[in-house]
Amino acid sequence: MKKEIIQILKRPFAQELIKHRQGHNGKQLDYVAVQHYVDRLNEGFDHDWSFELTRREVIGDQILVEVKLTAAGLIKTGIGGTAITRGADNKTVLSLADDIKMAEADALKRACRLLGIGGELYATEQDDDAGIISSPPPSVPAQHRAAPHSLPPSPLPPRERLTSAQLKGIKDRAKAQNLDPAEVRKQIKTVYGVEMEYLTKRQASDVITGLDANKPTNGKNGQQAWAG
Amino acid sequence: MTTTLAEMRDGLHVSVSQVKCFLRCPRQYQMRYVLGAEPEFIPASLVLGSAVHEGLAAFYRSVMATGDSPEQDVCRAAFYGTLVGFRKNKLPIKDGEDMEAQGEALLKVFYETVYQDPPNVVGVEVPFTIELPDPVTGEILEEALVGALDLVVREEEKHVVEEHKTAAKKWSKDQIKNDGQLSAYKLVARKLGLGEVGLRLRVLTKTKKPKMIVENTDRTDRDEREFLETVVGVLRAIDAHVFFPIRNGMCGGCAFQRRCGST
Repeated sequence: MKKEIIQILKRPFAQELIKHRQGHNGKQLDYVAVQHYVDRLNEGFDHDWSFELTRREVIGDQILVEVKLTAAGLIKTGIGGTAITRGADNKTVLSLADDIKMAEADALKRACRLLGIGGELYATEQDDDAGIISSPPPSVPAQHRAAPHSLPPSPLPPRERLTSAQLKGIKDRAKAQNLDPAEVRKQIKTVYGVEMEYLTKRQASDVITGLDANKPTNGKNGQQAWAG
Repeated sequence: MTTTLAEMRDGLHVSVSQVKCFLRCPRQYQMRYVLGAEPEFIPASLVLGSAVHEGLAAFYRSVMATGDSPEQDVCRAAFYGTLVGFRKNKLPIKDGEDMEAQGEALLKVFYETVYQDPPNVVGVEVPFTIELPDPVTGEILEEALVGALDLVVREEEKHVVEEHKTAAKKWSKDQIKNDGQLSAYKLVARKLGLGEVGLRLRVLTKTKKPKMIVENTDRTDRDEREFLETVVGVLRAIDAHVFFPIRNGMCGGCAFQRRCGST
């Protein structure tokens, strides 16, 4: 990985982004909202990264998820979790969707840490003594949350189709290199047999790599993989 | 600066017509959108529907600008302009012999019904792009929902979103009740800040004696949720390359029938 990217990833979060919550043993834990991790990934990898949910399980009262974060050819796995939030009767599930989102955010943060993002929070945020619960509490009061879902969703295969960030990455690069958008589209269709919007993540990643290699270097174009 | 529909379509998106196309025939969806295959022809129903649609839009744009109904020729000019655009296309129009006469008749029925009492038009062909949440996980989908509301009018205390259609015959009650497009528009209108809108379907029927049928309808939270479930299901099927053909009476009107092997 390039030094500049490592510097971006390892840069500590600004103090104003750091929030605090009470841990299970009474100690204060610092955390940063998942959006700031996403922002840092976008900054470091120019939006060219993706993550897949590879596992989701409900074990007892816990939701456990595993995500795979892919960026710059590296794959990092993160496991996260949260407890299912129940109503005052201790039975009614208030919003499984919100709980799952929290668990996914938790897992993504942990995968991010393996890339160096939020390392300074590691000691305080990660190891809450209660076990896998490390996400911040829901911001919406429980009684105002959405209607309950009776069944947990079934695990889904990870998405293969490219992400919106990848599509934008392709278009932005083509534009920056003054390539004819119609020609780029045609070339993608010829090489991969599908329209640009239906590339897989891996194919889109290859296209982006090809376009990056096409950037003019010392007054000359790179591999000339893409014409315009 | 206002974002145009074309700019909104530049990002990864899904539209109601794409969802409807997939539900009609996944193979046709694959041909049209995934493989980008060139159609063998343009169906006359598509040309006529688009041209009449433009005729209605021209009428309402004029009402919005002036507060009054324009001459009928405003609708006709937009209709013929669209028709000429299609005729310039290199693809042939299938079964399009009497489109002019049919279009004139449909526009006449429309105009004679609405010109005396023009509505309070708030927007015509209002483009939108909204984020779609998975109704089960709450996760925001990669694809934004992109499209345009045909017409937004103000009536008493609320906005009403109108959808314009041309159809071979009158829509059944079930069609009106279950059409996903209107569920989507209810959801979209709320996101656009129009509040809880009324929904109206204006159908011009291409029957021997053309008619205009106006149906007011509504959608519940459940309808909106079901629409989202449908979109998520369709997108998952696309991701899993589920593109089986549906062989039925519609195959003859499909512009990919030769390549699909249904001929």
